[in-house]
Amino acid sequence: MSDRADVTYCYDGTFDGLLCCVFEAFDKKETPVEIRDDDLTLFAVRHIETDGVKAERVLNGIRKKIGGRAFDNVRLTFLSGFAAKELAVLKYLRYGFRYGRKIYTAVANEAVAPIMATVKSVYNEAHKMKEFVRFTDYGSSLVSVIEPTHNVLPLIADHFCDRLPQETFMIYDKGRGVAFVHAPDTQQFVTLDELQLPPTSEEEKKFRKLWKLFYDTVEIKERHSDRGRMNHCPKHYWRHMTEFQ
Amino acid sequence: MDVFDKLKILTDAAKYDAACTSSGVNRTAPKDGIGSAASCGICHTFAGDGRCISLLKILMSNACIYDCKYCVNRKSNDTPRATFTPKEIADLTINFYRRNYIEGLFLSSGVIGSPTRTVELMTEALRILRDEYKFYGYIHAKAIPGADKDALALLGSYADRMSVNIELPSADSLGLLAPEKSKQSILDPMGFIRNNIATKGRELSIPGKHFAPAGQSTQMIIGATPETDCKILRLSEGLYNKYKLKRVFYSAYVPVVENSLLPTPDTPTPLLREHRLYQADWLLRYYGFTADEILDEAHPELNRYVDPKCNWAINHPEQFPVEVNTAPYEMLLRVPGIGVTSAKRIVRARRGEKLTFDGLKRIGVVLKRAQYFITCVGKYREGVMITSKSLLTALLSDSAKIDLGRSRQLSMFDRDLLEAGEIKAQVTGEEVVKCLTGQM
Repeated sequence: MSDRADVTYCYDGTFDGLLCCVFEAFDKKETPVEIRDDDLTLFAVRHIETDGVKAERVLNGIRKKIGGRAFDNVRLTFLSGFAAKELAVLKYLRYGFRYGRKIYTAVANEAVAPIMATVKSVYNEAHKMKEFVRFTDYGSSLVSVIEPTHNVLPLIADHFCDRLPQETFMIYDKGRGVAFVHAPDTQQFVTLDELQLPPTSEEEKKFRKLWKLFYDTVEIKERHSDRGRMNHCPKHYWRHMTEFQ
Repeated sequence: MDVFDKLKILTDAAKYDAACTSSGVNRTAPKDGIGSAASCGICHTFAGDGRCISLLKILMSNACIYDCKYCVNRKSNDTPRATFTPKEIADLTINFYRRNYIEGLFLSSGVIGSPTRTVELMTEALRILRDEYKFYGYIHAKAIPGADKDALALLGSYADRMSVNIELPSADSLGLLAPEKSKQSILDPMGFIRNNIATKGRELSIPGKHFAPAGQSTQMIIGATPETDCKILRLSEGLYNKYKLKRVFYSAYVPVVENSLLPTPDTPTPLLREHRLYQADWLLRYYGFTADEILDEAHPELNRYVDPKCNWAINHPEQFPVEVNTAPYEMLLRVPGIGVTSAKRIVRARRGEKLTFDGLKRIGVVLKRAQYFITCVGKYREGVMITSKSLLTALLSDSAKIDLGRSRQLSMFDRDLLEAGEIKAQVTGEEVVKCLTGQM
């Protein structure tokens, strides 16, 4: 349908910016080699300006011609940490604008399957973070540090608001420098380059020790299985989990 | 005795209970409360044995007045005893919960004084959590056989899930090893719980108003007594149908006690058997199989080397191959290697476009086993040779391969033979053929 162009699109890394790349590709009837949020490439680079009007047009087009679920899938893919996610989004939307709602059943298609797999991976990690977030009680607030592969913080924030409506808490995505802060009457995302935490109290240390004691005791030693544990709880999550410290 | 000692003793005493799920109920806390529950269940970590830890699984007390032979907490066992106060349990739960260590509480207990007294103490812990701490997280409470009905009704009104352990798979074994319990004393509360759930259970529950909205489960110990897999599966099927259980858990017996009526302490824990029973149990609950399709008197034990679905497929060649583009969902489920997720995806994907083997791969269907049993648009996958050898290599589970390797190591201490992988594979294949054709 469209010609492959020997050009790399370079955008500002925002969701609107990605939608503008999609606009550009449709407008020029071309498929770039890559879409990146930096210009570290040997190919010719075209900087795509982020333009709210263009982004809005793409967004409305997706909603009208393909549907809300396709928009959600694009949004979730954007949150993923996968390198080639932008180009996958472009191919997915190309299929969608051509075939419309068929995009929801043609899940085995080359243009659709990668998006479905990415969405699943993002949801999976969001679920894992609901499991593996560990709060430390600093007296007036609970603080958790996470380092997920995908940008799942926006997907798990509501879960913890529902769960701890009276608590003041913060979940800090260290890799992305973003924190979600909740207090009984407010909540917001803030950018944080660094986080200095005060020392932990005796009370906090006691519950950490109790938790570790429980964790170690509940294992049936005769059934020890490192592989079984690693399958469900990969090692890269261990760093921020109390029971492994 | 401080809370550390108690936690150690009462976790150690509770760990053999297999159930740790937090599923079956959706709920969020009101503004002044704490906690929520998700129907899918949330694990919070995984123990060194690979089992999920979702709930703070403890006993209220291990100072039990009963003397069940298989149990570490039996009266005659020389082991340290401890009892939590209801408030200690509530405080531990809340403090673990706030830190997102756990999804809630799984409270069981040895029998303190009397069954009714035990249930009352457990209820008090739950009451503090629900009424005073406004806790809306998940609670699984064990019903103690022989307790007063009113006491059980109150306990169930605070819990999300209840369970009564069936303990052993037959009345005979129960009579032999658990003299204070009887089949009836276990089935009575199970029936009582079923009836209460039917009238007062709600998926969106308000603690204190509804009864065990996440249903009831049970567990039995596998390998301490002589029942066959066939007998166990039929029992499970009956429990699912008659008592509307959500889950039956199987717990491979770990020899914790020396007793002439029990397997000797050096008996290995029957983990593979437990695994096969879970697989068969899944076939009952999600795959539309009946117990009689899986096992019968002529074949009373599950196959060690292949999983129960593969075993069924091998014995029903007339049902295959299955055309993925037209087969009903129920038949897709019977294909080895295709599970519930894959079957659903196939049904969805084929509405869009005709499915090819590449397409199957793209939607995440694993073809290693399935390719021998399916066609796409009338054709087998290119290069698939259906010979008994290729089939066996594909269907043999990894654990069976390891298992077979190990049994060889035990029987023959011949390095050369062990290192000659080819010979090993050949022997393995022969053994499996024998085993599949019922000669083993």
